[in-house]
Amino acid sequence: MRALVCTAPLLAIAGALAVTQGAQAEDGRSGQELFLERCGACHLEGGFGTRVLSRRVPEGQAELERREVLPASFTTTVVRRGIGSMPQIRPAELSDAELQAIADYLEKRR
Amino acid sequence: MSVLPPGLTQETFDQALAEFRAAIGPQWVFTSDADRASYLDPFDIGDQDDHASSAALAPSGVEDCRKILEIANRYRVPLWPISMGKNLAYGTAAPEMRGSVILDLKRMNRILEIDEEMGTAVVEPGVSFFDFKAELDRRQSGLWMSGPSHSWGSVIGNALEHGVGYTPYGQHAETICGMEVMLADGSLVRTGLGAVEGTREWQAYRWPFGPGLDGMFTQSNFGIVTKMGLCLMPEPEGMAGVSIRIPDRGDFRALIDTLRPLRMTDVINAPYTIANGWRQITGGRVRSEVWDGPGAISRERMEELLAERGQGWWSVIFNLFDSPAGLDLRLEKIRQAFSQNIPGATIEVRRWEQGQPKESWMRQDVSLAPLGVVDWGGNPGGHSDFGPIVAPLGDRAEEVYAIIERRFLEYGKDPWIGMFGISSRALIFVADMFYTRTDAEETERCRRLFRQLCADMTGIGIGLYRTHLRFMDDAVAMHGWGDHALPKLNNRIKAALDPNGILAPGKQGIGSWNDKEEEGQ
Repeated sequence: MRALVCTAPLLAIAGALAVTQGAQAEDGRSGQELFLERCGACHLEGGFGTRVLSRRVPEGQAELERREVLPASFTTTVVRRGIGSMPQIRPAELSDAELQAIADYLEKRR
Repeated sequence: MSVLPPGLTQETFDQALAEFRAAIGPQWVFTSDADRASYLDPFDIGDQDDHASSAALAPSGVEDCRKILEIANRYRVPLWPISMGKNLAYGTAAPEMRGSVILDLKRMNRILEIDEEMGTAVVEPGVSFFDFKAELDRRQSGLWMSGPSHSWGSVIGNALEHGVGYTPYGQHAETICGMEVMLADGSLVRTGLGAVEGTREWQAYRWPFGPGLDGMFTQSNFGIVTKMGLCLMPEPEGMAGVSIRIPDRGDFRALIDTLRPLRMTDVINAPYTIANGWRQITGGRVRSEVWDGPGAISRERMEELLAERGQGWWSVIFNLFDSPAGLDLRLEKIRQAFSQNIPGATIEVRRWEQGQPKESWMRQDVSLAPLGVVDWGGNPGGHSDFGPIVAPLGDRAEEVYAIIERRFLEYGKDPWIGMFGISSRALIFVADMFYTRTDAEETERCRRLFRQLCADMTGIGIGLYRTHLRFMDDAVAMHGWGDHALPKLNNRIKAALDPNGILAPGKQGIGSWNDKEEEGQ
């Protein structure tokens, strides 16, 4: 028996940057770890989110980890409301603390 | 803005919410506007607010579900169970009836068993295809998952909604082998041989002593499925990926009549997908890059676009599963059949054998590919699918295809049509309407198109495989034989099992509270 709580794939960490931030979820995982696990399927290099965003944001900034300005409040709103072709993600799937850790990581990692 | 379940005052609903909080913990009762918004359908073919929820509850297990049902029955609170809530294009996590309370089963996410010897698994509703594949990989399992094209959804939810995959186990409802179901009164039932105390055979055989009930809980609102058994395919010795191009638009009938016997004799031993021209030109771009004229992309432009990509008017793809020698025999029969019936067809084949690295054409990896096409028609994009079930007979399929294509063109929409040879005797059409969600005229036109097609199909005796929430009543109305005897039976079963009608009222047109009001109940 094994409890699983993932809503997105466990990803190959290839391409991940070795920058670690302080924000953490309740279980101690960092925002970077959560980003890779929950968001990486679409938002790393080659993902669908990255490809869609490449049509809409300045060149070189389609990957969220490379975005020059990405306020945490924008990330939390987009995740809960959805945007474009990205459906929203519910608190029962991704807790507020986990979401905040991801948003803080994306805002401050630069 | 507050949304209430029909028939409840704010005061009564607040009392019910207080009891829900006491029962499952306040942190698992979601009532804020932001939390409720996360259950809206982002791709709705109309105003999302038509299907807004009043709150959401996230139980941790069957005991929490039982407590919730007891309170919901007492207060007459309608519940809308969801698993992963990713039923994209069909309603996502939103309820059919506005004001329903979402019963979010995401926290019930255990993979309870994977039996390598029997080739079966038992899972809970909150297990996604991502989770399940990760666990199979972690165990280095010799069993393969049959997943749909988009892996974010629930393994259980997809099987319950009659979802499809691309292996010999691709008819997911057919792989169900036993369920645990909580009925509206809180009683817990195990179907099939799960009813035998201490059994080892729950997943072994679907037909117990007495009626087989698994199907009754699919696409229904007769209970909450809390566990499900699934049959899994042992890894094959080899695979062949077959891609066939048919240049001539006039060869559709011959194509269907060529594929049917191959599928029926199991030469093609997994679902096949046929794509028409419009469906083949979307990859890697948006519509405005290839067409800026009024209405649907013209036939002439389509011919140009297909030629640019070296594609024929029809394409067929499927995978074969067998030993290398068995694959040779299957491929030879397929080549013979096409060379006799459609000489202009070109066939490309890729091969894989056990031990070699897996490749993307095998569709054995998880994916979110369908999200990539949502913005095809405009941003923010959405799509809704019209899905008739058709006998794979050339005449019949051609009749249905012609009607759908003509209606799409009449309504100014690209006829983006795929056909899935899901079983040997059924072809499921999926005709996608893409729209810009914020364009009220376009979404209204798509709704009219959908309903026009329902009328057209009813006229020739065709029913649907699945619909968006918005068209549940339209789809169930197509079942008119015997003065709508089957929908009436469903409502009688519903009334017997759920007399207060609290479980997913209106799902599949069953137990709608609108009917209740009309009958003066």
